[in-house]
Amino acid sequence: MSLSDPRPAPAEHSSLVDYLSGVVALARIVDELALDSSHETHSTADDFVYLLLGVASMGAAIEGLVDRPAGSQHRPATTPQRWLR
Amino acid sequence: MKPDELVATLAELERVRSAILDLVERQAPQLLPTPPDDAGTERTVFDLLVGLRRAVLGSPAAARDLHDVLIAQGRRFAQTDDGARLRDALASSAAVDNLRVAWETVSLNVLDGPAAPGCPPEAWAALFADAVVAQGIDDAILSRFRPEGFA
Repeated sequence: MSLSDPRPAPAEHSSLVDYLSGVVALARIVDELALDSSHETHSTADDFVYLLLGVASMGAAIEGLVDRPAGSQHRPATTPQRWLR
Repeated sequence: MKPDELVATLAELERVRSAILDLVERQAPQLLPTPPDDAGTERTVFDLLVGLRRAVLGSPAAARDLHDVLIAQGRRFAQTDDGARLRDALASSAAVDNLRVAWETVSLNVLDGPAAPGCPPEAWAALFADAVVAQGIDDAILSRFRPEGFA
């Protein structure tokens, strides 16, 4: 196999769904971290907090992909084959 | 150069990069702590943290890019009502404080501070200068190479 000779077989072993599930799992951990209110002081958000927020945001976006009703899924006007020709 | 040769070159460069990282870790053993004896949860967490440190130290430019992307996304999310609520809750969470300590210990803070686009952060280079270059070299020897007045 080479760049000029793609084969469909490796796509069957794609881990994309596992990657997305991992991000969602991390996002849920971030949500749980936010529930720990034992800290009395209210400190300012730093880069680390925004990094966690970024993970939470990506997890929410991924969960939004599966929460969409089946009938309302957007279908592209053109088929991928047209662009991959 | 043909595409196949380009890919082979990239794969070879990746092997070289990995081998150099192995060498660096052997020369600076403090970067690769001794694993725990038991094979339970503690060992699993240890392996996860070592893998994370190796990813950060071994691919600093990529790790910095991902770090910056997540922070930028977090700042955008914080502009929404849900994001702002979560930001405030995270900022006042003791669990986040604990996680921050863990992250700083594992990453050695090499992703923070200045970095040119697409380049490793300056803190990463400074860490290796301290951990590797100065390791085992007597300063009395180095001082002979230092011009007078040079700190």
